[in-house]
Amino acid sequence: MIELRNVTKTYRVGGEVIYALRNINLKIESGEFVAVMGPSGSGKSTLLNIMGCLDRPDSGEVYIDGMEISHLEEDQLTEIRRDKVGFVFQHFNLIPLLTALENVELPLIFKYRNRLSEREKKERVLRCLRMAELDERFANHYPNQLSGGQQQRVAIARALANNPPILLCDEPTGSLDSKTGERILKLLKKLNWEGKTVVVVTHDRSVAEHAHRTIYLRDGRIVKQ
Amino acid sequence: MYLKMAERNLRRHILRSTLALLGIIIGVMTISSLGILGSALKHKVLENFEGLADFVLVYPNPEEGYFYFTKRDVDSLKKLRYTVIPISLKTDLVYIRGENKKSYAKIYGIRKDQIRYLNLETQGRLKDTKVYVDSFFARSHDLEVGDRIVLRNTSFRIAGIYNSSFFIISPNSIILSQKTYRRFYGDNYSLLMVYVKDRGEIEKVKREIERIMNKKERKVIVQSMDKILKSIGDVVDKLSLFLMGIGGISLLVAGVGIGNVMLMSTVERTREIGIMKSIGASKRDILMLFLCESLILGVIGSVLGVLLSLILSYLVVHYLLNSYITLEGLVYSLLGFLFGVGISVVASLYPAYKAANLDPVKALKSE
Repeated sequence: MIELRNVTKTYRVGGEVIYALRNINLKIESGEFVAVMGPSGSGKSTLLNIMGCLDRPDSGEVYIDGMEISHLEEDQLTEIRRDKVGFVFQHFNLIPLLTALENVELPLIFKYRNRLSEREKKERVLRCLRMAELDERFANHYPNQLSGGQQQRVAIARALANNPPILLCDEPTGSLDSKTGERILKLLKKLNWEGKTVVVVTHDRSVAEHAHRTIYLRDGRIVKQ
Repeated sequence: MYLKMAERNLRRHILRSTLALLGIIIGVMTISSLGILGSALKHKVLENFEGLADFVLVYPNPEEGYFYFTKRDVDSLKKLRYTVIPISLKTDLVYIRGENKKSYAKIYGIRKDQIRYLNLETQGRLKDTKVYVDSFFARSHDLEVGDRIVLRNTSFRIAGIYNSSFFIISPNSIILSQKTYRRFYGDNYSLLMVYVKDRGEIEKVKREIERIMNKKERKVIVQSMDKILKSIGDVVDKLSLFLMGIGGISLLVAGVGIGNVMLMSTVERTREIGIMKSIGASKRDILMLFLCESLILGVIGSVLGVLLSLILSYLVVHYLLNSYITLEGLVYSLLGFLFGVGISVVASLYPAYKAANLDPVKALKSE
């Protein structure tokens, strides 16, 4: 499903070159639930961004669903990101100007433009909200009218909108209290059970306990699988 | 969807959007108003002279000692097979009856059957026993149609009051029938107007007149209004173009304002742009979103600007110039509209391009 071969990524801070990832080799199979752990600055987020086609490695190869992506043009990366990957962020990253329903609708619009009828779009959005276990009553609420847990459910529904095989979650429980976080994790597990490949970047050891396997990163290297 | 999001983004900073809008409104309004006013002014100015464009004017040349034309001169011009309208002029003392007042006035003599060429718009018909007086003369002596004036011991009833047009008939004047004029002042003419229906022939007619009249010496001066009219039109055109240029500058400033608003907006929304890119928005999507925002500003601003300018110029043109808005003026409104929308879009090209090319990873990290 996702494979990284000899992936290296560096950043320049001032004149200094910082290795975010060094020679990463990694394979995530379809249907897996993988946790990525490590101290901050260990390259977790960079790894996730590369898996999600938001970023390109300096060297090495990245395969998503069998396709090598490190040499693709930005527009092609956008397409893969749109079709194959759903992102869930720590700070939910909903668009405050749009209602829950419209936030979930947005990826559909970017993908289908006007090819989906209003009715079809609404049906798909509501299906995604149901999958994310958010009550339909909240569909027309704006993000600031929702609790953190509800916002994260909207964000998950949005990640599901284009029915991608992969969910990439960057500290999905990081801004939630432990009880709500636990529920969100259960939801992610359910989605994994239903067939999504889930990768979760986290600080939280209890999150890792839900995963099939955990990858430990330190200074851009995988130290333990 | 782009439009919906764009609209909400604009509403988010309603004051800032309104100010940017105001700039566009003022710029478009200036261009459109000045265009409309300029062409209305030109129309009004030309309207005053328009009736004269069909005539070739023949004056005696005082430098060669000619002050009047005679009957023979008129007859020799008639050979041209164009209508010749001889106009006589003297200055004389006029008594206003009843008040025992007297005043000098210019006395014109024109043939009764030719008076229609002057487009004086008087109601009553000119007769040998009646006169027309100019509105200036009538006002200053409190005269109305039907009142009487006395000229050379003869009483005349006023048959009509006309507005003088400076070029042929001066203000403070009285028009008599040529027959009456001849009885008082003799057979002399100070101007011969030749009516040329087809303006394309004016140059030819002028050459013919020169050939007939200026055989041995330069006895006559030949003039036509078409050239003068054209240069007046050109001057007014250039003036309104200059004023519209000023309007254009104000629109340019408005464009800078819009560019500024959009640029601030890209900086503020960096994170949002990152989010949109992460959920599958392409460069084009982001570009369109930003262009839509400025397009909305541009269209609303331009529409309001044009509407305001129409109201404003209607008031000015209708009440001050006593004229009406011309089609040519409306073309300037359209131009102002297009310019307003165009400037808005152009001004947002760079901010939109910048937003579209943000690196999603960095954009997501920003606060």
